[in-house]
Amino acid sequence: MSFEEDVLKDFITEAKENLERLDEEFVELEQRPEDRELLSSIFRTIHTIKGTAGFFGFKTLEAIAHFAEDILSKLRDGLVVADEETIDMLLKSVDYIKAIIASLEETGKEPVDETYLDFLVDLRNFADKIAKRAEGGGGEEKPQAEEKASESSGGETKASSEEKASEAAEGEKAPEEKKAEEKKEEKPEATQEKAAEKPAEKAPEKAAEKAPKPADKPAKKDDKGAPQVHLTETHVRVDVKLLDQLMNLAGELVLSRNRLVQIASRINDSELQNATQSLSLVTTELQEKIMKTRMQPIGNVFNKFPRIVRDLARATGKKVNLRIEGADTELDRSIIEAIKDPLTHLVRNAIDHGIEDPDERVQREKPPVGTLVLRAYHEGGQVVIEIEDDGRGIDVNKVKQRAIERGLITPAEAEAMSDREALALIFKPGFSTAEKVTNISGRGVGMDVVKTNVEKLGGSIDIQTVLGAGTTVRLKIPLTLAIIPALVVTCEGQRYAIPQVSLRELVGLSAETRKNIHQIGDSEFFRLRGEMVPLVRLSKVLGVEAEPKENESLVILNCGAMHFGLVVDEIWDSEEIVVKPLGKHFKDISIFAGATIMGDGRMALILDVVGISRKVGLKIEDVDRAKEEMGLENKLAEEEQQFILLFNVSPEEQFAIPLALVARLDKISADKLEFVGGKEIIQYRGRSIPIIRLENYLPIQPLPEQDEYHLLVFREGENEVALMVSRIVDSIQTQVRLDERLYKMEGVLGSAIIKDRTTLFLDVYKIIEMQDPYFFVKIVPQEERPYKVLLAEDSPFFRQMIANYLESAGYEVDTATDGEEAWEKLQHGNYDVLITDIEMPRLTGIELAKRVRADARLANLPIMALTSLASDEDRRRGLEAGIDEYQVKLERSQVLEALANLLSRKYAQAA
Amino acid sequence: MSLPAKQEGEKNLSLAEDTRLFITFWLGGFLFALPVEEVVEINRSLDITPVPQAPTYVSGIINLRGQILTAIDLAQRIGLERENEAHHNVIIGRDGEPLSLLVEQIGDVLEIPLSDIEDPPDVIEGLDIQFVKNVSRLPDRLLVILDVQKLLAI
Repeated sequence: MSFEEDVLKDFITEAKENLERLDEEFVELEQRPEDRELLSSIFRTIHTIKGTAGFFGFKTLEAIAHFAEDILSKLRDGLVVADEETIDMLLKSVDYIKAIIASLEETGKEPVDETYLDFLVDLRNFADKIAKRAEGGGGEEKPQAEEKASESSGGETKASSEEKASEAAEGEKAPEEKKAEEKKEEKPEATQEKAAEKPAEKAPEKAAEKAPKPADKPAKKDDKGAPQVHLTETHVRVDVKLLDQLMNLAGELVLSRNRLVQIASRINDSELQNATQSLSLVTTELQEKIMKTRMQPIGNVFNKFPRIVRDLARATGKKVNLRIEGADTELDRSIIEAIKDPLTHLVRNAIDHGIEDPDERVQREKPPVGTLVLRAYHEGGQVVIEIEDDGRGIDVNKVKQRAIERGLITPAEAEAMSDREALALIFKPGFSTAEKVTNISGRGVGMDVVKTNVEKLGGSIDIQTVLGAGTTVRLKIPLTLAIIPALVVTCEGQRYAIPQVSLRELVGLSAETRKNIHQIGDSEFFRLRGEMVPLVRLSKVLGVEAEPKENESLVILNCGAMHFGLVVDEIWDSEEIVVKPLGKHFKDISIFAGATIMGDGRMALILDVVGISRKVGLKIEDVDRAKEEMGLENKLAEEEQQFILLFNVSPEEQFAIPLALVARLDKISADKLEFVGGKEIIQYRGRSIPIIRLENYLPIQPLPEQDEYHLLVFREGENEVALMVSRIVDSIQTQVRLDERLYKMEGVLGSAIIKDRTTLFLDVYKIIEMQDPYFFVKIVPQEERPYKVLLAEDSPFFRQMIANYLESAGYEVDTATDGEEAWEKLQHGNYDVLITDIEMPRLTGIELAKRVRADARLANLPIMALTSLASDEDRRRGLEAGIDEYQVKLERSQVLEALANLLSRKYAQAA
Repeated sequence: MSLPAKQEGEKNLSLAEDTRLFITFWLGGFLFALPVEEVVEINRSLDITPVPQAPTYVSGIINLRGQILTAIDLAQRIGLERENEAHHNVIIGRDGEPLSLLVEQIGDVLEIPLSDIEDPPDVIEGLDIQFVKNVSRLPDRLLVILDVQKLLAI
């Protein structure tokens, strides 16, 4: 549903309520015709309807409300006394308004019907009569002709009818058309047809046209009377508490259902099973529906901002254009309530600190009117809200300076800080970047409060800023607080639930993985792919007696910008839990976010990840220190895990390729093979695909004759080719320690021992090219000499493969085994581009990029990062360090395309 | 088991002599009482899930038909030495957050004339006097009437 439809719905609901009340009030008015208060109330209601109708462009509705308001204003000001006739007219207006509202609700349009326009004429005449009575007092029984004459002129001069004047002007042609119009009267279908063509625009025009009609009509029309419409209630206001109770009961019903389903499955009675099944379905649906009653569009909060922004812009002398996107994104009611204040604060900040004065903006060659975007959208079970401005951005150095002044950090710390870390300072208590504390943003409520509030909701906050170009604050908030997916873990026999949003990954702690636990000072750290993750023992946090255990599990949790590992006894299952609040006796315990009732009727406490990290006092600095201390050990290159596919051609030899390279796996029977034009092909999904037999390119045992073969299908754009093998052995995740010395031949990257067998790692790209040199689209920017690439990659497997595909794409490639070596090579050689892995021993890709950017000679060197998995987080870190491009290693064609783009971009700029 | 609400109780009283109805229960050798209208319901043993880090007088949380309530170890709360396991739940807190008081044994419902309800003595051996609102001298023992507001407060 669009934002506008939503507002319309609200308008209709409200109008209906008000109209009901109006009926009563009018009746009262007859008893007490001079009750000012009553008149004012009626006036306000009609006025609101008029305003909203105008907003939506409902011309007939607006016009009726307008004239009714005219009459009412005279009554209210005591210029005329409400007599029966007046009240009749007003009540009739209300009836017409009701009829229009009913039609709006049904069709979304105003009704197209003569009667409305006729009534409008009557009403207008009557309004004029009242106006004259008010002015002259008395002379109400003027001849019709005179009234008619005053109609067009008088109507225009009246200030209150000003808006109608333009419409009347439109109807200027009326006099000429009048005759024709009158003729048409006899054939009302014709008029109606005409009106139906353009109902919306036509309505006012017709109203104006009809206005100057002779007054023989009203008499006729009076007989018709107002349409009797009964407005049916389609919306009911319900106490929020009642909804919460319903929610609660639905949760209970789900639990009872679960128990029943368990019992039914034990008893094994088909009738019972059917009954439980239908109960189950209904319960699920009921729960969903009740959940829905709690959902509200975020527009309910967003629509408060146009006003706030306008007022703020005025107060600060700035010009701001607010754009709202995704106002119909739905969120749980309780969350909508809770984000109101943080959002307001962020919007204030954006206008006060972000957007510059119009003069300053013009100087910076920006449009004088700043743009502020409020955007909401769903992403992975969460709602993302962005507050984006095109203002001055945040000056990281100023932030650091301010933090030093405030004693939040030392100058030395500031020096060592990355931009991202520096930005995080904004969220520290007692921080304010404004040059002067204004009464708008600097109200003693800092970003720290915003952050705390957002985190309380299970959300996160993140700032991206480009100096001079603007800032984007991104809030990620769960859809609902009531039902959340959670991981259930145990500690000393009790179950605990961890909200899934905080979860990063799970690690089993065996004797092997325990080797990655390091004791530094009082704290324990776990080395996870080269990263030092602080460890927290749940039993310690809870303060329960813990016996030493053989097997524990480690849950890696996200907590804002950092993560930590929580050691638990066992990991159970992931399930949807209904969050229930804990009583007031637990309000000082920050480590629990609530409790939930599990399927067996017993309870589990929900862990508050932020609270736990606070309680144990985890700090990013500790992690950094740990990293430093562990620096030496990091030299042992930690190779990335990868999925590989193992297969045989002949049973004696085992081969491997990265699984990610394979587009599809399939089987074909031998009789499908064709030999056409010197090529072996198969028909596959309506196309002919060439077959590669490995023995044709490598000195290996040939593929034995079989009834059925396995196909490994590779694809590049439109091109497809299949590798034919005898057997797929397995697909496993492993660390590959590639030996490059033993097999040095085209098409082989090296060998490794996998599952106790020497396995050849194939360079699939090379082999495909040996078969068909034109298989891969070549994307190399035009240059007289080949571009020279420095490739830094610690894994020999990837190093070889990437180097090969780069070379075959026409680049000259030099390689380095880690960041440090790459740095040395960069000092001496001349390279056109640096391609680097991120996770490397000695010097990571990020640090390498920072070093390169800091070096005057290399500052403009294009840098592309390749990783096995590129998360947004990594991407951002990379971009901040100065990396130009971010790609996934195995996406060959994308890497090549991005590289070509990068080079042409960089060097076209320089040229 | 649900108990009659306030109105009913008061109606009965107005008929005869001025009396008040009390729910009674045993804990640590004492007979305690709470006004009927203050008690929401009484439940036999419910599963208690302990909450680490909670105040010592809090036993944990219980699941009362989908609502999670705090279970108070009443003996601990009022400074009493408890002899037996306290498994019965006396649930109080009609308006606002309900609490479950864990007691050893549920006694009778007693109707006590207002004239027999006295102010508590300065000291009652073995329990914290601040939670005692009134006492009533029964033929065989002292009935200790607890102060619900104090119990509901943190």
